[in-house]
This record gives sequence, C-alpha cells and structure tokens, in this order.
Amino acid sequence: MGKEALFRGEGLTKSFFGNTVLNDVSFEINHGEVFGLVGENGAGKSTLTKIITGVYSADKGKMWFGDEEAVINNVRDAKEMGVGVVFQELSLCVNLTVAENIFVDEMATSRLGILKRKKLYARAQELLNRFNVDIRPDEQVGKLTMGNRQIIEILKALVINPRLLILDEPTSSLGESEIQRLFELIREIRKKGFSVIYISHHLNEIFEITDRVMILRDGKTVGIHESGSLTIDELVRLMINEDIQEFFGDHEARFAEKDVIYEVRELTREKFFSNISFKLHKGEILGLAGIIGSGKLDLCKALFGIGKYDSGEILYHGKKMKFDSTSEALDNGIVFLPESRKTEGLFLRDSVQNNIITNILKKVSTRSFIRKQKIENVVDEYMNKVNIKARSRTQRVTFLSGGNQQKVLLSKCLATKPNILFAIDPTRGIDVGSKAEIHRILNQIAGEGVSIILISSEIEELMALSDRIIVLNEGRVGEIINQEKFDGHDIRLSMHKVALNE
Amino acid sequence: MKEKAVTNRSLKNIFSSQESTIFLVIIAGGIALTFISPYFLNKDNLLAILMAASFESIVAIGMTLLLISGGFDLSVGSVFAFSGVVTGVLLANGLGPFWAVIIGLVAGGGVGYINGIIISKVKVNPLITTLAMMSIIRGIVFVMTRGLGVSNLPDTFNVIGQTKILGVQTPIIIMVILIVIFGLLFKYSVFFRQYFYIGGNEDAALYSGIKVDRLKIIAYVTAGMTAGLAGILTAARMGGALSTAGTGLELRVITACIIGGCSLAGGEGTMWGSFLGVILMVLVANAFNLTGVSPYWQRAIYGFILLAAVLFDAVRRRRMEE
Repeated sequence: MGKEALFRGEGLTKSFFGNTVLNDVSFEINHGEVFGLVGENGAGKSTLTKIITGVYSADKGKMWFGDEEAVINNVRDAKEMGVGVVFQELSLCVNLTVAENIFVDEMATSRLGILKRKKLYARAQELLNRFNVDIRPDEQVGKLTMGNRQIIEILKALVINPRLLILDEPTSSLGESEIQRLFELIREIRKKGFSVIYISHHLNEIFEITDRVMILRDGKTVGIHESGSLTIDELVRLMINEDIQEFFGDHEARFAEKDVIYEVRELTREKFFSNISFKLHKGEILGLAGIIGSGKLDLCKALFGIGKYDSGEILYHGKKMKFDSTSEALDNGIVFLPESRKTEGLFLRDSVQNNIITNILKKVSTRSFIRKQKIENVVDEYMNKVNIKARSRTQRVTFLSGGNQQKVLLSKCLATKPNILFAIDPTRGIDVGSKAEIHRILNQIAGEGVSIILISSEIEELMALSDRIIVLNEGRVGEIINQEKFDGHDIRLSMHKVALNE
Repeated sequence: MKEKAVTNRSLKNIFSSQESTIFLVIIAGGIALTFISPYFLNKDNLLAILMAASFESIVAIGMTLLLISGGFDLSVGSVFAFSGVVTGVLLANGLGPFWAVIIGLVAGGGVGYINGIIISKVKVNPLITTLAMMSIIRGIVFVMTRGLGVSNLPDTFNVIGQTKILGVQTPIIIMVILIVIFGLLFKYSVFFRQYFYIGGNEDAALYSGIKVDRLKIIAYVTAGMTAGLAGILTAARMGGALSTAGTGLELRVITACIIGGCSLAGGEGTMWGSFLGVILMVLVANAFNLTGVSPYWQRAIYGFILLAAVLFDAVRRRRMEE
C-alpha cells in the first residue's frame, strides 16, 4: 500500500473470566480507507470496536495513530485521539432539530449560557454542505426518514473531526435506496481523508463500500483481503468453518400449479396498496420485493388481520375469508413472524419456553390448565429442530444471541403448525451461521407443505429462498418473476422502476 | 459467554426468592414484635391482622392482574367506597341484600369497564384515566351521600361481614377462598397466562393472536369488581357505608403488590406474593398500634416502602437488561 498507515492495532487481546474473546489481533488502516470488519456473532467484532472506542481496555497489545502510541483507557481518551463512533441503535432526540442533535455535545452558547440558535444553524449548515447532505438544519428529526436520521447520526459523529470513524451496522434500519444515499455519504467522508471502519452482516455492502476487509473468527484474524479480490462464497467460507454451499444455491421448484391454497384478488387499501392479486401454492415460498413504502409490509399486515384493507377479497382453501384480528388468522393456520424480534416478536424478559408456547397455550394444557410436561415436550422438540443454543428451557430470551433469539421467534411461529407463514425479514441482523440454519429450516418446512410469504431486505436472500418473487412498487404488483428468471440486478431495477420513470 | 451465565444464575435466585424474602421479613418482623409487645402473639391480634388484610387482599387480586398486564388502577379506593355506598343506598330504600350486593358489584365492575375501554380502545394511559376516574367516582359518592354515608344497614346484610365460622370472621374466609382460587388461576390457567404476555410485550402479544384489548378490559372490570366486593364487605362489617371509605387504598394496595414481586413494567407478579405484601403492610400498621408510635407517621412510612419497592424493582430490571 506504500503510504504510512493511519491506525495500527498490534496483538490486541482481551479475555473475560478466562475466556479469550479477542486473540492477538493485528491490522493497519490506511488514510482515506473504508475498512470492513466481518465475522459471525461472537467472533470478536464488537469487543474490538469497544477496545478502539475505549469502552474496554485491552489485556495485551498496542494501538498506534501513525507514530504516536494511542493509549486509550476510556471513552474520553478515544474521542480525544480522534475516534468517532456510530452505534447500531439510533440515539437521536426526535423532538429536537437536526442542528440541535448534531451539536448535542457542544451547543453554541453565549457567555450567559443562552443558546445561540442562529450560530448553531449556521454551523450545522456548514457541516451539511461539506458532505453534500440536503437536509435543513432546522428540520425536526422526528419528521425525517430513517435513512436521513442515520445520516444525521453519522454527521453528529463527524463534529469532532475524527481521524477514524467506526460505523456499526449502519444499515440495519434502512431500505435499499436509503443505503445508497448512506454510501454516497461514506464515499464523501472517505474523499475528505477520513478513514472508516465499517461493520456489517450484509456482505454485499462490504463488497460495495469497503476497500479492504478483515475477517474475524473466534477472536482471531482469519485474513485481511482486498474486498475486490474475494467472491461472496469465499468470504462466507472464511467467516465460518464449514462450507455452506447452498447459501445462495438453487433449489427445485417445490409446488404444483394446481395446489392453490391461498388467493388474493384485487386487494386495495387506499394510499397503501392497490389491486394486488396473486396466488400462493402449497409448499411454495413466495418472495415479496419492494423498497420501503412499496406497500409490501402493509399488505402482509392486512392479510394477517393486523392491518386494514378497503376492498378486494381473500380466498383461503377456496373459501372467502376476512380476518378482523390476529387471533382469527392464527386459528386458521396463518402465522406472522414480525420484522422486529425485540419490539414485536419476543417477550424478552420471559423464558425460552414461555416464548415458544405463546401461540399454542391450548395445546400445552388440559382443560384450560397448563401442563408442564406438555410444555417441555413441545419446547424440546423445537429447541432440537431449530437448534436453539440456550442454557436451558427456562433461560431468559434477553440473554441469548440475536441469532438464537430469531430461532426462538421462528419456533414460536412453527409451533402453531401453520399452513401459511408470513416471514418478515427472518434473518435480520443475525450471524451467518444462524442465517444459514434459518434458511435450512424455511426450506425444510416448505418441503413439508407449509406455504411461506417472505419479505427480506436482502435481494440475495429473497432469490436464494423463493420459488417466485413478486415485485411491488408504489403499492402495485410490478411483476411476478419465476425462479429461473431471478437476477439481482433486474429485480433491483424493477423495484425502482416507477420511481425512475417519474 | 461465561460472565453472562454467572450473573444470570445469581439473578435467577433473586427472582425465585422474591416471595420467600418477603415471607422471611414477615416472620422476622413477627418474632421481633412478639418480643416488643406481649399483645402481638395472641389469637385476637393475629385475627385482627388477617381481618385488616382481608379487604386489601381482595382489592389486590384485581390490582395484581392489572400490574401483570402492565397497567394499574388508581380508582380502586373510590370504587371501594362507591360500591359500598350504592349497596347501602339500595338497602336503605328497601331492596333485598342479594340484589343490593349484586348491583353494588356491577357498579364497581362498570367503573372498571369504562376505565378499560378508555385505556385499551382510546389508548389514553392508565395513569391519567384512572386518576380522573378516582376523582370522578369519589365526587359521585359524596353527591350520593351528601358527604356523609349510609348508616344503620339491615342485619340481613350485615351478616355477610359479621358472622364467624369456626371462630373466623367471614371476610377472612372469603379472602382465603378468593386468594387460593385466583392464585391457582394466575399461575396455571391458559386464560390468565395471556396477561403475562401482554405485560411482557404488548406488540408481540398482539402478533401472537392474543386479544389484547378484550383482556385488558376484563382486567379493569376485575379490578373494579374486587374493589367493589371489598367495599361492600367493609360496609357489612361496619353496618354502614362511609363516603370516605378506601381513601389512600390505591397507594397501599399498589405498594403491597410491588413489594410482593409485581413490576410496574408488567409481566411479573403472583397472587401469593401480593398477599404477602398486604400482610407486611398491615403488620407495619399493627406495629405502630402496639408500640404506640404516632399513626400520623403511617402514611409517610407507606410512601417510603413504596419508593423502596419501586427502586428495588427498577434496579432489578436494569441488572437484567445489562
């Protein structure tokens, strides 16, 4: 690379209670480089981040900024050395303006402590201009889209002029087009000479935005590569020990044309979706693609009885149906795996077993009293089938890793023995291993005859699992694509078509 | 990771021992009081403690259910007086005790129904709704009784509260029966299990097909009816319904439930724990009487206990979320 490195980590090691979570990790980050960091959950990514940002201090090893040794013992040290960080969860005050959020640490005040609003807005405008961001500084953050909020979050970290900016899963709440805008900002940041550490589970993002990528596995560096020199299969293989050959693999079509289990006819909800018609076959995985605001989520909610529709009809087993509540849908063998496991899916403070039995209380009881033995049988069955790694049936879900939480959520849905499963982003923000397992299970249950309507923010995932993909744009069915015609580029294009035309 | 497993286990011990802890505190307090006062450990005093606890324990049934579901009800004190007064007025006008009691209970349940509708359907928060209801109902009680009460209730009614069976007063017996029934139902029945899910995560409960709104309304109706029942029993016990009955009751009952393991965040609580909480509160009052400390201190002490219980609850939850 020739030029001298901006930042160097040398032999960084960290243990907790004799358990080494980061083992002799060394790397260099160049000036103006976007440095990717990938690995499964527990590989050491977050420990490494926390060492660089001063949340933890390393047991062994040194860090350098150029020639100068960086002694980082706490968060303040890290800030002073020029490390900026944006964590996964957004931390903005929605009731305040863009400018007030960006300068939350150092408000422009007069000597008497009075807020100087004009100066604040001027400084914010300057920053927004510098990175070509078209957002007004006096706009209230609550009115911004998630994508713009993420951008403001990053600008907030740039206020201290960090030499090294760490972005931890910055796209987890963003849609496809918003991710592109975020990348524009990152490129802008790189152009200004800042270096970025970019952490993501979305490997396609790693390829798109990073210059080099470091792969961690079990706390050790497995390799540092030029991002362009790897294929996605190679990268995945480096991250996990076993080869997951079917990660993006093909599969046979699983359904027979005549086995229509569910049909939607001209379903319309004004301003959300209109004239949606499609058929779902027994054992089919039907993907729904669309950008945020395309109506795909509203459609699924309406079909499940949690959202509304104005007109149109639903045929289920050939009979006309309308669900007014979620319990009706569930009673009819339709189950919904919501997109956010923490807020809509799980009872975090409750145990693994109580989460799994939520939908099947009747099945685990006799004469309306719950039976412990029945619970244990069901829970054991699913802990094995879905391979949930928990200490016991009674461990609280909040203590599980994201991947295992998602598996609990999936078990909860499967325990109802559904005919139809709505799966909304079933692998959101989880590690590659768990993801592969969830893919395996979805394929398996489809093989057993369960029909699945799948939404995923990752087009590759949608293509890997689906038999057909319906592309929605602006609330309408854009096209229905059969498996043999799947092409990531075409699908993306189709998702954006209407927006591009206008 | 290892560290997590360790903290998890020690935390778990704290949870499972929440009820045993308070049980031990009660035993220790009892032993201390036995030494301090010669009047503590005799049958009459112990029955008096249970008697005092019986009304609040009955109110605690509904409150526990609400706290488990993530709600609470500040209007129980007013409803307590309201049901008593409604029953009293009907009796004074010559209605038979059976129907007077039934209508009194329905009146209490009706207030709960209104609370439930406003909270679940209109989505006003429980604090504001039940605070307003507390004031409205108390006002109605004052209007109905011109600020006084209904006295000289007929003996055919008073018998409900003044009879002894095997030397034990009826309110105690009613309380024990209800606590046992609801205790078992809360713990083992499918129906009440759903409240733990609602309190744990309302959105997730909705996606799981639980009829959240309907169940919440039922919980508020239960709270209204149990408060009403306690109020009616009190009226029968005293032979009259006071307009000021149940003042401050909501504070004492919520405190008792939280000491007993309910969480203001919802999703936790047992009938047995709440009952022990009530016993502890009554024991504190009894200690004041026996030791001759000014009863004016009682309200302050109750406030302290509530604050301590809530702080403990908050710390416990924070440690769990770490």
